[in-house]
Amino acid sequence: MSVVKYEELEHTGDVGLRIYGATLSELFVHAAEGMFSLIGCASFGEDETVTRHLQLAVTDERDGLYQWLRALLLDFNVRGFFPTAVSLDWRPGRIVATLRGGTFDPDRHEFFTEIKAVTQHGLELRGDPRNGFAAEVIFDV
Amino acid sequence: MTLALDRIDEHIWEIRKQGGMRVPGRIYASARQMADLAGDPCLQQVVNVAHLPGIVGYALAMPDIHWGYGFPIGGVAVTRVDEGVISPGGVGYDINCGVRLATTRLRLADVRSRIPDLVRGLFATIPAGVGAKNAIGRLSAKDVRRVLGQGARWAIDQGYGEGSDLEHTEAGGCLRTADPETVSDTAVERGGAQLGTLGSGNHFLELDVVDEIYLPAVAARFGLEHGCVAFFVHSGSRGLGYQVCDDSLSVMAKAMERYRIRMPDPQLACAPIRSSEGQRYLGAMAAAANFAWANRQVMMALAARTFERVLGLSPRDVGARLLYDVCHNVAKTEAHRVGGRDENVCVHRKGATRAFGPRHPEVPAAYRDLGQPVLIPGDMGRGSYVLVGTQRAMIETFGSTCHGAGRVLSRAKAKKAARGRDLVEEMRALGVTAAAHGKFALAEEMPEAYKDVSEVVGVMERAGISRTVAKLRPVGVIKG
Repeated sequence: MSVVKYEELEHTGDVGLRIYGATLSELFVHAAEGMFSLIGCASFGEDETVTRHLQLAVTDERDGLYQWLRALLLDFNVRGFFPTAVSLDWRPGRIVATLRGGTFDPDRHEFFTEIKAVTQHGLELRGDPRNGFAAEVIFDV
Repeated sequence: MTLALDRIDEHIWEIRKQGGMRVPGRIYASARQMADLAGDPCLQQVVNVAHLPGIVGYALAMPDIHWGYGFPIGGVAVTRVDEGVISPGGVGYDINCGVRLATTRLRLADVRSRIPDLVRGLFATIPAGVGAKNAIGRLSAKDVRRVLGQGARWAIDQGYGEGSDLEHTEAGGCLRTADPETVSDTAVERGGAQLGTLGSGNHFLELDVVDEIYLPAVAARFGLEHGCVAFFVHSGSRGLGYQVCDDSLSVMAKAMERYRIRMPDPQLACAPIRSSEGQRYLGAMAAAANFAWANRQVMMALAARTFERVLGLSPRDVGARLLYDVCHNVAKTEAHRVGGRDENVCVHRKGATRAFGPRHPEVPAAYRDLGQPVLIPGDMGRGSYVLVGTQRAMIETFGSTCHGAGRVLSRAKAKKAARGRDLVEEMRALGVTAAAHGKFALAEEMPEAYKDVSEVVGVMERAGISRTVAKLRPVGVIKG
């Protein structure tokens, strides 16, 4: 497992993340953790935890990262679903994920930033000699 | 990458046409501002925008330019309707993010001690921040689609404001080209609970006092009186608009292949204006713009009611009156002079403000001989400006000017700079009562995170693009 999961990038207008993972599956999990770390902080009791299953058809790794984060952000924005544990299996052409989490409540949980969208501006995903894979994503905030 | 810049005059810098650029780039900035921009990615974004098919004149940038995604923030691009493209990236996710300014009859001297109560009242009344909803209850999908078709008029018909507000709203608060049926069910669902909510990031509701008057005759006609309280509402189309933009990008990516368009940045995906994809986006974008106008209309009315309740005054005594409402993120068909003749063109403004000069038919009748009011919010400590559009803007910038101070610090740097500081107390020392929902909202938006708005406005004044009418000083602010 990579030591640093993600770090915030310098971006004047918006917010960016550089994300690392020993495998693509791990990178995608770290990307989800990084995005939600920008949005807020929530924990859920056993009785309020729900499990979601997600399957996405994607064209390649870069598209996969974009579609994956878009899908999670949409689920958060429409249903308030805030994942706290993610397991994911990446295969060429598809992502299969299981997410555990709950419904974010701004009165009870700590929130930081509203993310308007995952952008494709400067979106990169590449092999990284030290960490396996690295990616960069800019979010509109 | 450092780009070669030619200085055209004191405040205009040009990036020569090179590579796939179809027009040169032009940036309005002082020498100091331009020195600060050396090596900034936003200059490359000006170059990228100049690649848009059908672009005319220049890829323009205002002095509040900063790095965005696709377009730079502070960018203006004008494309021919017949041969040009529409790019959702030239509008942004927050379609018709904009600002309105309402004046009141209240004098700061009379209500100074009640400002903290007013801020508390506004903070409790107008939902803000992540997950903000239910300012006026959840709207059915049918009602949301009505809002998409009617814009600010819908809010007024529900009792939020006066019919006369429409005359003081850009485009009368409704783009008639809206096609609500092109807006996805997901976008409609996101909009259902969000009408009348502020959002997060740089959105705010701010109480100000009219602090300095530079053009007394114009200020008087705008209803700006020294010492009087006014308030800004800065927000947009909320999740509905974000979804419209997001939905459109995958359509545009396919359209790019179909029409064999290549752009240097996928966030500049576009389609011919006359294509079915272009028309569909324009219909949905206009609908989202209408939602934004209704949103600001509702918030202004809720704020005026809060003034009445907290101060125990009648609507007449508060006297909230809309000075004007402008868009910052929009694409509109406007008539401009291109190549020596008048032509309908598509004006993309991404973090820029329309600034029509005197006698333009789209300027409200009450201000037509003066020019369009332009509202330039600064940071929450140093103040904001009211400007007026000029004829020169019509000639040089397709009737456009700056939209704000422009960020100078990333949010990460701003948070680092704020560590260990009590920003509420710092703002209080500046005479501003501040309240925010988000843990880092004040840190990310602190005054030093922004350029000095006076310098930004000064460039546009000296370039003759807009004239400075008055300065407002903040006394209270709520943020998401």
